[in-house]
Amino acid sequence: MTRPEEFQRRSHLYRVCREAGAQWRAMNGFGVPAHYGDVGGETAAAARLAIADLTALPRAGYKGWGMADWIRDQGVSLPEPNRALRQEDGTLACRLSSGELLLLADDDQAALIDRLGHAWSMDDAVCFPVPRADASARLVVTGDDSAAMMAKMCGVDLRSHRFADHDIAQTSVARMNVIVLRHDRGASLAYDLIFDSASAVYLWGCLVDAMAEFGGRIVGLNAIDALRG
Amino acid sequence: MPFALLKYGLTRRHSVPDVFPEPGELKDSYDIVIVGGGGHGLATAYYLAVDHGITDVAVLERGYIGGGNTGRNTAIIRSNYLTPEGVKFYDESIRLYKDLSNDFDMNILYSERGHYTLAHTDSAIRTMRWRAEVNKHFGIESELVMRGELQKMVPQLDYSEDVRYPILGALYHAPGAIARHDAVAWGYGAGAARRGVHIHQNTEVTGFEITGANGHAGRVTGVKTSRGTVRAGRVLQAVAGMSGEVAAMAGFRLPLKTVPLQACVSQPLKPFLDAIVVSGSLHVYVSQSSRGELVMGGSTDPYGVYMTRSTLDWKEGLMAHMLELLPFISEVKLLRQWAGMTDMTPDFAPIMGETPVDNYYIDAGWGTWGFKATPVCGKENARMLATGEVGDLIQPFALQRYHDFDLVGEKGAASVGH
Amino acid sequence: MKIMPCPLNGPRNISEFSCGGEVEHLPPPDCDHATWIDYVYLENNTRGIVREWWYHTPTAYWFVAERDTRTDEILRTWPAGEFLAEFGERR
Repeated sequence: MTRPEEFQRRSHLYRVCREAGAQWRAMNGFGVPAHYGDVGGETAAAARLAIADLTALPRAGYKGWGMADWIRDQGVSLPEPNRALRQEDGTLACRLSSGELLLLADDDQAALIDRLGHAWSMDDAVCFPVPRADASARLVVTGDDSAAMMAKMCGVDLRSHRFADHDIAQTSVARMNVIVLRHDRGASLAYDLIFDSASAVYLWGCLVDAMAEFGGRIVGLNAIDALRG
Repeated sequence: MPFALLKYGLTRRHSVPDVFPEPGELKDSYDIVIVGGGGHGLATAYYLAVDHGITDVAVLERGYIGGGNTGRNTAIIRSNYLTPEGVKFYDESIRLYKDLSNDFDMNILYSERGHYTLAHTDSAIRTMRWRAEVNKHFGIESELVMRGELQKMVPQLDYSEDVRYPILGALYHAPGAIARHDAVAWGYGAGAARRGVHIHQNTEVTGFEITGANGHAGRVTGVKTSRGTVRAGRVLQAVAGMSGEVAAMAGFRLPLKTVPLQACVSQPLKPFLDAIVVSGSLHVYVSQSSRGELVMGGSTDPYGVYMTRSTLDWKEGLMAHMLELLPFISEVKLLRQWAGMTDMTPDFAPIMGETPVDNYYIDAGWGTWGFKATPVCGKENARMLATGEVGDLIQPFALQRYHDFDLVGEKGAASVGH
Repeated sequence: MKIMPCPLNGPRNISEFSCGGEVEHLPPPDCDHATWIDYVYLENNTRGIVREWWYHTPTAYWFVAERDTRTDEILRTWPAGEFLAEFGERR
């Protein structure tokens, strides 16, 4: 059986996931929870209410007065602040302000993120990389009940008719600063949460507590991939 | 005496004691005009009359006696401060407080409870030890008690270790007390009025007459009010949250921000908490009044407004923290809520003494810590107004200290991190 | 809860923000002692309409809000750049 310690990189949550019975697979150099021994049940749960740890997925950030110019020069299409826009290779470009961008990949094919990493140099316009890969954690909350569950933890109205797909709210969730991105998987409502990785165990505990009322489950990446179809 | 009581009980008409005899019209002139009829202003008037025999004094109050911050604090009295200046000053105040009920012939319900400032971190333990040593050096009962001992002294608290802020120990200050705060204002006011001081309620100050302001700040000669102008020999402003506004009328600026401080009480409960408990990390201070109510306060509002409104989110935050200390009170209901306007200084110490305007003195910057200082402020202000000299106890709190970069850092001894 | 209209994030609970104090101009480095003391310590502590720096903590975003300290009403907000372009030269 594969153990998370066999991988060079691990999420801050690997002990929590291990205790929940995770079965591991490799991705992006990480050991990630593929499933928790009930693939069918997890996939069904993901459509109702589930959380998963996506910290292993590649991400990057850029910030500065010249961010917009530099990033456009690299062929990236920019959305308005607090919106995300899917790029040709599938990467999501999340505009956090006029001068800040967060790039999220949904699988370990992170061509754009790698390309920008190589293209950036100190001499370019006023635009700097923001350390997002290790400093941030990323979780996802999926399913029909996810808006109701998030309402317990967050003051912003995230219901689907008020908060569109690819809308971003940078706000307080369970009293922590969190970037909330609505990022539906297939036909399923889903919210990605990006926040300080040092507080991952705390926020995970808050989410587990909040979803108990709705019968939510912890699921592996296989169930999330199944939603995407 | 029992017969008198019985007779009184059977009488249909009860005379209302005339605590503050209506002084009638404002006179044209007073030796001393005190702006602000709160505890500090009334105590000043009282000690002017009692200690110095000066009774040609007017106290001008925009509202009514006991309606301001004197009646809006959480009534805690202590002297376990951090700086030598602060410790000496507040200790003198406690000494005066202990005799007030006798002085007034009126029970202010002064009740020594023991005051516990909880430490939840190693660094807090260090600060507590520092405070205890400073306190003891000046002869004040102040001890660091560690968790095991504390658990015997205050068994009501939650001593779990797997909580956000486990209790590691506390600074124990045996003389820490509570008192009936509005009685303090009434006692001082009644005592001053009985000796001939004029207390003018519903009298708003609208400006000052200042002469010789050419090139420098000038000299105050009169006070303009909503009921006319009075000439004044010396003027004291003691107006808490309105300090900046009143100082602006006199032509100078202060290092103050006016911020509301909210407080509340629970429904009355059987006596279960004899101690006064404070947690800086949890932003809570709580005591149980003689009526059984839990009197609770926390941090100031996060931004300044000139309002005494209460907010739900502040109370939710305070109650969440209360339940971390006393989880078993979760079913208890809140009974009353209120707020006062505090005037916060950058160094958490007051501003007392002279101002740029001659004959114009100030008692301000009392932020969230003014009630416990009421007697000593009155005593020192009275001496200053009577003699024109600033006493040693209040010298460190001069407005001039900001100009000299000589601040008195008391933030570490504020009951909660505001 | 009180709602602050953030120029970047829209209406949000005021608990997500910190107040940075009244908008002031930094005096020149060679100013006299009194001017410097005034800047460092003294406050207008305005009772009325005031313009202040505010900070949205989750986004580390500074902006300017105009509010009435008598009524706790927020009247208007500006992104920092727009505010400085409009009022940058004046106090």
